[in-house]
Amino acid sequence: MDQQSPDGSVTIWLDQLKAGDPAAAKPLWDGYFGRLVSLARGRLRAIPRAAADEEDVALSAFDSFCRGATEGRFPRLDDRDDLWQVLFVITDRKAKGQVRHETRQKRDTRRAVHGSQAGGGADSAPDVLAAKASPEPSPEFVAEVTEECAKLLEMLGDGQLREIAVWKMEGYTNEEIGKKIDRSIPAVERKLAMIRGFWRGSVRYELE
Amino acid sequence: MNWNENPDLPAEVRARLLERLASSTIREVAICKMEGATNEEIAGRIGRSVVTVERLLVAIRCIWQRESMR
Repeated sequence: MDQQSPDGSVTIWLDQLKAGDPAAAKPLWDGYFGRLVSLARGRLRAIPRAAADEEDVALSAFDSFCRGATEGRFPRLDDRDDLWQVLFVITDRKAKGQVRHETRQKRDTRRAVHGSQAGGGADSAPDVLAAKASPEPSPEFVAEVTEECAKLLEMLGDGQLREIAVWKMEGYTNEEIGKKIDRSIPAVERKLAMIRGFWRGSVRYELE
Repeated sequence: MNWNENPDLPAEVRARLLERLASSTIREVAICKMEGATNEEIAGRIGRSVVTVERLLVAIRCIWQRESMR
């Protein structure tokens, strides 16, 4: 399902879920779980992991979403665009939390190893100095830029908003984009405003 | 002349300063672009040079292109 299914279906399932009907979770699961796993996989790329980890993150995110929707914690959850925003934010946060946890554990392990070696503390000093003297942006910076760019696109889902953002970024006019999607210029402008709203964080949700 | 493009500064200093371009700057550039702002206007809004804006836009397009091919 997902971006190909009629928006009305998603809206109905969301209404049912918000009304406390657990059966509505099934079609949403079928349509979105795979995408959440892919999203989590991308976020967990930096750490050693098993395939189960990304599925755990996606599962946990979907569970939080269902509970939040049932408890009325997402007031602006009306259509598939809203749905993807919420799922994206929850999954992104959970994956990042997992990365932070793993990184912290790895660092603690390294400290323990270095601390047990004679002169271990000095071994790491040349690396730090080399990194500071490098004229190239650090890998962390490159990774941050790449992640932010990818995140902006992912926030828009796989549908029309994403296509419009890419075209606009490539320099297409609103009129040209309108022709591509067979919509009026005001309709394109509304979509662009929606994109900006998502990125500005005006579409905020109360998350656990 | 902006801090990250000043040739009088050592390369490593410029590189470090460039890193201060936070993720929020990239997001702001993308938002401006969705508004239809020109590169000059975007540069004015984020307080960077047009060259920096052009570089960021190229980076965004490249990364988006790669993401779209996945």
